[in-house]
Amino acid sequence: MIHPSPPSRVVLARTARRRGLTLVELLLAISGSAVIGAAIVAMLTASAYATDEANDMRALVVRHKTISARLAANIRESKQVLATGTDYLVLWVADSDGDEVPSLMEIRRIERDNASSTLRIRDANPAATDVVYTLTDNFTTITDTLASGSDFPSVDLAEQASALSFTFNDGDPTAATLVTVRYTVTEGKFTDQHVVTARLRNAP
Amino acid sequence: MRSSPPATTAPRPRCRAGSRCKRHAFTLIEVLIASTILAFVTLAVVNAIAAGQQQTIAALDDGRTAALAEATLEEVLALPYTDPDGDTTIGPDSGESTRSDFDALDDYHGWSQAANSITDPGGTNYPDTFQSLQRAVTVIDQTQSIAALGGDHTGRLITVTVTDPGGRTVTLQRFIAQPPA
Repeated sequence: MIHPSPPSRVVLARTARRRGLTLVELLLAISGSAVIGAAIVAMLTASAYATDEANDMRALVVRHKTISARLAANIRESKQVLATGTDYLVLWVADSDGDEVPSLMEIRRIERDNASSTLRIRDANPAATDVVYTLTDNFTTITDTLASGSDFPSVDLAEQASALSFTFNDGDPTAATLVTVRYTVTEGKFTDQHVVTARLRNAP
Repeated sequence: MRSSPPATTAPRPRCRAGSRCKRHAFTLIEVLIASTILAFVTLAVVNAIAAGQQQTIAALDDGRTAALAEATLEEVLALPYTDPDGDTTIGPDSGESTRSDFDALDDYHGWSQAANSITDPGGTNYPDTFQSLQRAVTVIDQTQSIAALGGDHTGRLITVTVTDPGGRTVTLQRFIAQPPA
């Protein structure tokens, strides 16, 4: 009589004989893939960081271009410096009413607000009542007072600006023909100072 | 009665511990080739990233070079065409040795600033990031034919050249026509 061996036994026997990974092999494989994985992660992190930096730097290039173009345009169309100090420059744009003295409608102030680190430009509100000044007036205090009211509103020029300073080609800023502006802006990881020189309209 | 065990249960010849096994593993050459390929691929990726970074840094540097050139031209143009002392020869007049003494645009002819001595018109140093640049100005007499303005005009051609440490230059030129007497 033939007793066929139960198939389950055959399967069991085969399974039992199949050789699995030993613990050492498994550990080696895991640590190998861990090293490769860590290397890939490090590479991706580095490339992401580099991409971030490159983006910040490109943004900085563009910001320098736009900020310096606007600063230069504001200075070039102005006639004379009226007052200057840390973080601000008061310009007499033009003697549009022809009375040879500055008035509220004719002045402009380029400034940096320390609290918000913002570069901004103030012009008179066209709806305000014009005030006539004399050239010997203290335009620092005049514009400081005006800035707190609604007659001298500001337009933002740049954010994250950590410094703004002005130098002139004459010891007396009101007699200068060239204004050099230095400003520092931050973009992501980069903080960079840029310089722009522009001549006033009273220059030949 | 027992039958002979079925063939399927016969032990197949297999690798046993201690036996010399015919299992195929990677040879040293294969591993070396694989790691060389991996190294080249990694190198290419790293190079691509680094090149992108270099381009961006170059763009920032070019921006500074251009800004300095613009500032220099602006400085020259702030002076009158005609010398108030009546001097008509190009170049600084006698007794006008420094830029603060210049009183006409032709006085800037031959003026230059070397690296690490870049200053603004007021004499204040530029930031360090600009100090690797150098600049030079030339002013020459020139006649330009401007059809729209009815033919030849005499005047002066101002050329501003700013050179970066890599030898790349930004050159700006401006022709200023002689004002009517």
